[in-house]
Amino acid sequence: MAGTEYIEKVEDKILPLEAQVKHLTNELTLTKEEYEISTNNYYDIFSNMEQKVEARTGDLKRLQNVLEEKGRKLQIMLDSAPLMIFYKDAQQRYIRVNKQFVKTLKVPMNQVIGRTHAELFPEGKAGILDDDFEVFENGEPVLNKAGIIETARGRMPIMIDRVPYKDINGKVIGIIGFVTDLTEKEKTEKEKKELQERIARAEKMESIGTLAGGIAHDFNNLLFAIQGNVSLMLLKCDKTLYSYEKLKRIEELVQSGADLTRQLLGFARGGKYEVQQTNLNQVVKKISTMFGRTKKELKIYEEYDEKLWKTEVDKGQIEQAMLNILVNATQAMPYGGDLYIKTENALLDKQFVDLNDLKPGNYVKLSVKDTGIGMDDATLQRIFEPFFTTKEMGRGTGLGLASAYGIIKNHNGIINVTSKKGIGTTFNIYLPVSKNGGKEKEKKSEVKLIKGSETILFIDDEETIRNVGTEILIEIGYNIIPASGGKEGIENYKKNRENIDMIILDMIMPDMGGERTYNLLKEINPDIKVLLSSGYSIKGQATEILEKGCDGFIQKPFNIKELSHVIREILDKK
Amino acid sequence: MLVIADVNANEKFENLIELVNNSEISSIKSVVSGLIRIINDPDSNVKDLKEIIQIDPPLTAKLLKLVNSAFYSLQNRISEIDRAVILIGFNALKELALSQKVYEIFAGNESLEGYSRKSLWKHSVAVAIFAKMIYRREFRERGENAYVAGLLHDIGIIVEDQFLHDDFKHILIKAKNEKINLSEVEYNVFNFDHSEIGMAIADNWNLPGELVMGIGYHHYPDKVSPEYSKLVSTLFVANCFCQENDLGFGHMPCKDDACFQKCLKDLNLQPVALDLILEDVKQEISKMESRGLL
Repeated sequence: MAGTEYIEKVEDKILPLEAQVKHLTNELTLTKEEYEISTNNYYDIFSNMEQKVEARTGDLKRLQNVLEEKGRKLQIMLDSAPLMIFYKDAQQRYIRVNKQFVKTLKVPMNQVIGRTHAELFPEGKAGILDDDFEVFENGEPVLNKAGIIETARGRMPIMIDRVPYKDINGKVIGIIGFVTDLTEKEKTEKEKKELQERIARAEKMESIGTLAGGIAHDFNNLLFAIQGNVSLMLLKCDKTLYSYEKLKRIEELVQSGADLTRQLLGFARGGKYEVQQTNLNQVVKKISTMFGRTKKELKIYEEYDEKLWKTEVDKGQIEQAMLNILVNATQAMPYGGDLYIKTENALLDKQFVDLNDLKPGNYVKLSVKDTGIGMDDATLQRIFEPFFTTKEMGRGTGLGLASAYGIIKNHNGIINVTSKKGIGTTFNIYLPVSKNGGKEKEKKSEVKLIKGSETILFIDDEETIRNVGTEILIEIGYNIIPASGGKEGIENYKKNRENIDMIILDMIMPDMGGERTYNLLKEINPDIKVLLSSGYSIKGQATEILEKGCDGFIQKPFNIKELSHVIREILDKK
Repeated sequence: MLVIADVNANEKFENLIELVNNSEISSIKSVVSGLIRIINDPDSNVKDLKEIIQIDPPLTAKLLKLVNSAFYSLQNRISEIDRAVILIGFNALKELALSQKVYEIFAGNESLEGYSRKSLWKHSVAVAIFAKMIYRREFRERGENAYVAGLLHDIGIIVEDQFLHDDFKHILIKAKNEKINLSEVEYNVFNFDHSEIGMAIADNWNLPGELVMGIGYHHYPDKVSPEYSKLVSTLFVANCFCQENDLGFGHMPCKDDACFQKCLKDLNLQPVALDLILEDVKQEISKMESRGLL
């Protein structure tokens, strides 16, 4: 029985054990299943996450690439700008600057970023770039602020625009600056101003010239009438009479007056009347020798280029121009001094001649330098104006240098002047080199009256001149057919063609000018002999007619002897 | 089957259910039925759970709080339901979510005659765990519905407590004094019992049939159709065993011993197995109590 009891006891113990084993087995089985499911779930979640992370990483990478590309493009844009550009944050640290910025301030790009201006340049270089206070304070752009910065290449005038960069609440969180280099602009503006001044000066000279020319022309005609009448009276007057002396004196005074108008006409570009191929050295030597004799207190240093190119000038006019310059120099040295005269060949480039509206090329240069009192800028600006003078009233005419200016201009040359107060003044004259061999003319100066008996057609629109001229010519012995203009002259010529030996033709006439009349007369008779006469001519006109084969030229007012010689010369020419 | 003869009682019952359907008890309906669907779907995952829970921010917050504070001391507090699943497991999370949701209608302080909302809730959780363990350990099945049915089987008592409070007090006293089954007293008083109320609610919430039947017949395993007898019998066994082992509420007997023995036999359960499971259930309950889950 004990056995059964024991077995029962054992069974009592076995039963819960069995149950426990069963429970554990089942629980384990289920847990294992669940674990597997969970594992799968986790794996799904995990791989999902991995994919997501991958996708996000890809997105981020793409975004980063886009941003980097945009940043690169922005930098390229900024670097392409000729301005210096900077962006600073609220702490005034440079966040981005462009190439021009680092180039101008000569500082490496990687040094700039993240630093303030003061950290970059403790010595205070370009401090104006650090002056952002106003923009941060007011939150408004500050534009067109001018200043000067020291750069690697020296002083640079600049203009800064500063624009605040704000967050959505309007708080200034940065500043963008644009710095314009004004060096070129300032230079250009200075040049422009100078050019404008020069043009204004030239225009002024031009208008004064026109005015002076007009006055001189009329005045010259009056002088001619006086000269003519005096000449006629002298012919009839006994040399022993008191009146003869006075008439002679009047003739001299008329000549002085004529000299004055000639000066004025010279300034007014009265035309080069007797253009010859000339060695400027000879002209200069002649004048300086003559001048040196009269001004002993001056020491003259001459330097001639013996290989000086030939130039085509009206010798008389050039002499006059040089004389005027020498007179000016003398007056600048009242207690004596040194005068340097120099000739040389010069090759003028486009830039040099453009300002004077001339052609570049070979020129001969004459410079006259004195050691006189010099001039200030204000005087220098007006030196060539007619009637401008620094001398006290009555001493100078104010026409000397104006005339020189007109003459040189009229020769397509350049005249300029540099001066320093207390040091001296230098005049430079440039004249173009001759292109063809101009005709050399020997000017004869006979004093005897030569009579004739031929018939002359005398064309002049001014009645006084026509009357006096006719009277004079008749006095010399000629037959005169007068005409009051180009048309009448041509008619008269057609009517009396066989009788007329020669024509005296005025240049400036209202109905038909000298040139046109000349051309028409030449058509009628190509061999016709014409003497051109004028007190005033527009630039080049007389020259042109002379080149066409006109036989001679006489400038009013002419005296009776001079006229008789010129007429004889033409009529006797075969 | 129950036969409700009394027309008045029938009307009263209908009115009661109507009342319940418009009360806060029904407010847990959508979340609870959603959770049950997930618990019953083997292919469900944490994303589905998250979708259900996130429409209920207080529940979500409560779950996260529990996971963060009670279960583990975490270096970094988790802030997402799908992180919680990694820490406590999907099954645990589902059950936690359901129990916390259901608990909302068990809240209350009053206690009388050995009954309190708290003791009823503890009992419900114990029955749920017990029934689930029977399924797992004895039948080698997951027992999801056993757990849910356990949690909800006495929901009818909450209704009585809330809407028929005076009668309910009377019933409790009577059951205690006369030492008779709660359902019997309920029939005497209302002509229906708490299982009938629970069944009506479960049906109204469109819970799965097995759950509706489990709740409705948890006192009548011999009356249910064989299709549901396994769950109902298990629930019956678990319910009675808990009631008799300090995991019950009130002072009423539950056990119709013949019925109980028949159930054990039908389910092929050894008493020794129940003892083993009870031990673990008690352990689990005390663990939950210590974590503040009850």
